[in-house]
Amino acid sequence: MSKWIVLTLTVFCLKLAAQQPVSEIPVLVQYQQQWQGYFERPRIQTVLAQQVKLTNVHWPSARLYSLEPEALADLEQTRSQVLEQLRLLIIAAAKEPQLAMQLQETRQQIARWQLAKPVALELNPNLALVRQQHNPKLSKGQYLLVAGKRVSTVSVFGLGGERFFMHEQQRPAYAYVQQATELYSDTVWLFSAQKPAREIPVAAWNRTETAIATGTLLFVPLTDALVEQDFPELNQQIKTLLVHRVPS
Amino acid sequence: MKQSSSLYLLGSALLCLAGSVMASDEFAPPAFSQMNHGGVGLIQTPTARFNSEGEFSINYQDSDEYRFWSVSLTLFPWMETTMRYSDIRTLLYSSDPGFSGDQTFKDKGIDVKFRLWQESAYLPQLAVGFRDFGGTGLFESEFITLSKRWQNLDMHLGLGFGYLGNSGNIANPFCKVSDAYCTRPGGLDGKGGQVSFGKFFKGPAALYGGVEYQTPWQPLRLKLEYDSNNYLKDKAGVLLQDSRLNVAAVYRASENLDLNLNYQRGNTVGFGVSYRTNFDNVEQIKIAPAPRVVPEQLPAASTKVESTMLYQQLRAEVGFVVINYQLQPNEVIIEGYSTAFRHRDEFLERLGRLLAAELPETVKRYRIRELSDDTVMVETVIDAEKFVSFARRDEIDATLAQSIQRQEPTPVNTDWQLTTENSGYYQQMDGYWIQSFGNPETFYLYQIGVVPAAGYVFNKNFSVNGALRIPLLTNFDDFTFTVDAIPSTLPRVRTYVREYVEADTVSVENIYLQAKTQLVQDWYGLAYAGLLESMYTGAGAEVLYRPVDSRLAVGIDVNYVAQRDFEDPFAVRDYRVATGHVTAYWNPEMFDDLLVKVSVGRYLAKDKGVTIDIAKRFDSGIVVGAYAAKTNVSAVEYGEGSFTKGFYLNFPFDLFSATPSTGTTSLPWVPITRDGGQPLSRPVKLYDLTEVRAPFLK
Repeated sequence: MSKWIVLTLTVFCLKLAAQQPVSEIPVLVQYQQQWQGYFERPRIQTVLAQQVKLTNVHWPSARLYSLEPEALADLEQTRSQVLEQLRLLIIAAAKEPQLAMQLQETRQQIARWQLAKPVALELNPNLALVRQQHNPKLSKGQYLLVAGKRVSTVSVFGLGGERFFMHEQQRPAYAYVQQATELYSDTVWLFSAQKPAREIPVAAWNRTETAIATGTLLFVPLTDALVEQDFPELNQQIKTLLVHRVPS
Repeated sequence: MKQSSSLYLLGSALLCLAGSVMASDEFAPPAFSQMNHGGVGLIQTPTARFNSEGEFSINYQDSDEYRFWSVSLTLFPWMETTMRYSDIRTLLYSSDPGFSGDQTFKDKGIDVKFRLWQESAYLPQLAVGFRDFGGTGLFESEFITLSKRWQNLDMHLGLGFGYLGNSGNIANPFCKVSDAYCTRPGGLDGKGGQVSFGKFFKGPAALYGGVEYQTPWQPLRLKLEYDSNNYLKDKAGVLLQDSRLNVAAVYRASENLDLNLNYQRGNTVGFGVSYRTNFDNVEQIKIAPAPRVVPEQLPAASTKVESTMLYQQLRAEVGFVVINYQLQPNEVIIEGYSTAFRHRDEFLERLGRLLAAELPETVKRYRIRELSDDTVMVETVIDAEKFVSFARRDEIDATLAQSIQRQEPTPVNTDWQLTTENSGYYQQMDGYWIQSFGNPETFYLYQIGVVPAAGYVFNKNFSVNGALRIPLLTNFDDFTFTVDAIPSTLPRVRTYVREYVEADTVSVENIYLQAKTQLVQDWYGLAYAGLLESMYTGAGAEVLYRPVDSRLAVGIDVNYVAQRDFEDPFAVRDYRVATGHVTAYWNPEMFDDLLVKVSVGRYLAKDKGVTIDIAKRFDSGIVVGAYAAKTNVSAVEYGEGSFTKGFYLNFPFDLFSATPSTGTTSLPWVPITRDGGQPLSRPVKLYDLTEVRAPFLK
């Protein structure tokens, strides 16, 4: 609720200052629940300099998201489908309370995710100062800027929801998956701010020494036994949502 | 009894290693190690493992009886190829000291391995392979092998035939299907060099197996192998075998270097070294001018462009040599040669940035026309507004591709504001490097030198060109013979090679008149006459159809040539021949990194047939290719090798230099040169000349 009050107030101030309706403000950027409007399309360096006052920002994990309604509508539709499939799985697992509880937790967490479309852009205020390709002009629209301090965890998401583990240097991805004891898969999907999502092997027969960065999320797909027959697209849809999930 | 005790030892070792697996959970070889013969494997035996695509290893292995030099390349994730020279230390090259001195016996071999099934959670990886299948077959083997990994332990089991099946520790399973598989035919197919399909999976068979263990100390891996060979039929003689178990330690000295120490047959120590790299990833740091920054305010319409300065800037910053230039109020047309940046996007972005920063904002189109040998080959039209938007990142999702369009060059008003004469004298200097492996005089024969070339260009269609060959370093004076003593039923069209290269004096490589033109859209024509190559003189013509960015091109060439004299560059021998080919060039859409060339026609020895050449391009720009020519000459008539075949590596100069460059160099390897299936080495080829119309070597 407070978010909307801040939004309303900020936008109201912008309106007053410019004597211009919000719909005519070409670029709106939200950062830490505050909205900033720009009457001229700004370059990203301007946005970062004006809005990010934090020191020690961990820029490799910073992201800019588009909040354009068309993209969000597609994502919400996918989320609805995922939630519905999980609901049916929960019903089907009525005789397995443990499984049903894990599915319920997974479903509740997905329902709470904030979704947005990540903009393919490496955020780095220093690079933006010296290289044009790192300092694009924002297109018209609404954006969400996520830039915070370095987190010290790695998370594993799968049946039962998300688990967090302390990040350790040189620790391979499979070791975190092993730590999430009840989860197993030959491969998991790796999500990080720096690179596109990729599939990596983590089983005893195929694992590789994939060192991962702090803040990485590892998605352990729901087992084939659970989803393959009735919901073959479910894991792929969850993956799509994870690509668009805004870190909390 | 000996076998069963060995198997017991192997089993015990497996259990022992499996126990220690529980204590450790680190295993992920960045590349699987090489076996003694080259190629991924244990010590003597191959496994079903494959390194990642593009992985290339150069290996040397040494033991009492054998030395192996090999190179191995993973062409595709499912295909590994290995080429090897073997030195049999217990035998002389020949019994005639005057012919081969005290050189020991050498043999070359080619191996190939295919993955049939990829490992999964419960099923092992399955591969089938063929060792030494295209040579004299000293180590000729076929194998079917399985590999399964569990944590730090990689376990392998295989069934070998031929050299790998010599111990015959199991009945050949195919023998139960057909009696033809119960015995292995002896001798060579043809004159050697042919694939011995008739021997595959026949005769004695033997099981082999082993493990590779990644120790907790990352650089060290241990191998244990149960050997399927009994070494009673080796070319090196009967080798004493005290144990069927071989062991080895592989130490990864650096990211690219493996050292190994092994103990074979219970009585022989061996050692080896492997250097590896990946053709997909190899790159070189570049020192190049920074790309121009496109200013927020472009130069005003009234800005006067200093064309001479622009020439110099394009050359210095983009490596673009301008020949013709025409600036109009709303477009600029520039013709020239790209000499520096071989990646098209990098070249075009640098070029566009410079033009945007220097030309008035009223110029809306940059028409870049790339030349090859004075002929305009392709036109790239850059939409200036879109490009500037991309270069300045005025839109987050702007891309270079949105602003450029490649097309057939359209006619232009040739009222150039600045132009470079396309007639006159030219000169250039190239290097050359001839090498030959496995020769009787000495294993490695080489000649390194320079090829100064010069010519006169009359206009964009006509020129006269010539080149000399000047040897600087050579050991060709070690020759103990020139023409081989092998009787030949074919005209000696290539086997006089030693006569031509023997002298360490200056020779005339070529002198020829050349005429070329674009006949109509997409069609090019070429004619040439004179001393065309080091062995032939005559005249010929070629026509090529090659649309811009087409994956298919077709050409036809016809030539009438006479064999050149060995000494007098302007004299000819009695031999004359009409030769020519129809050639199709195809870059399949499904396999964008492959170029297939198929040539059908008449060769120098008047034999008729087909040459198939397949080239694969890796991400670094390195191209690996192989070709084979099969003509109406029988294997017996052809002689050693049975048919013409060869391999080549094309390297971008760029990989060896900190300075950007578009050039390439080729490293051929021809196992043996005979007279059948030999084409004329034409001094100019239209497909090479028109490369920029549909670049494959990008």
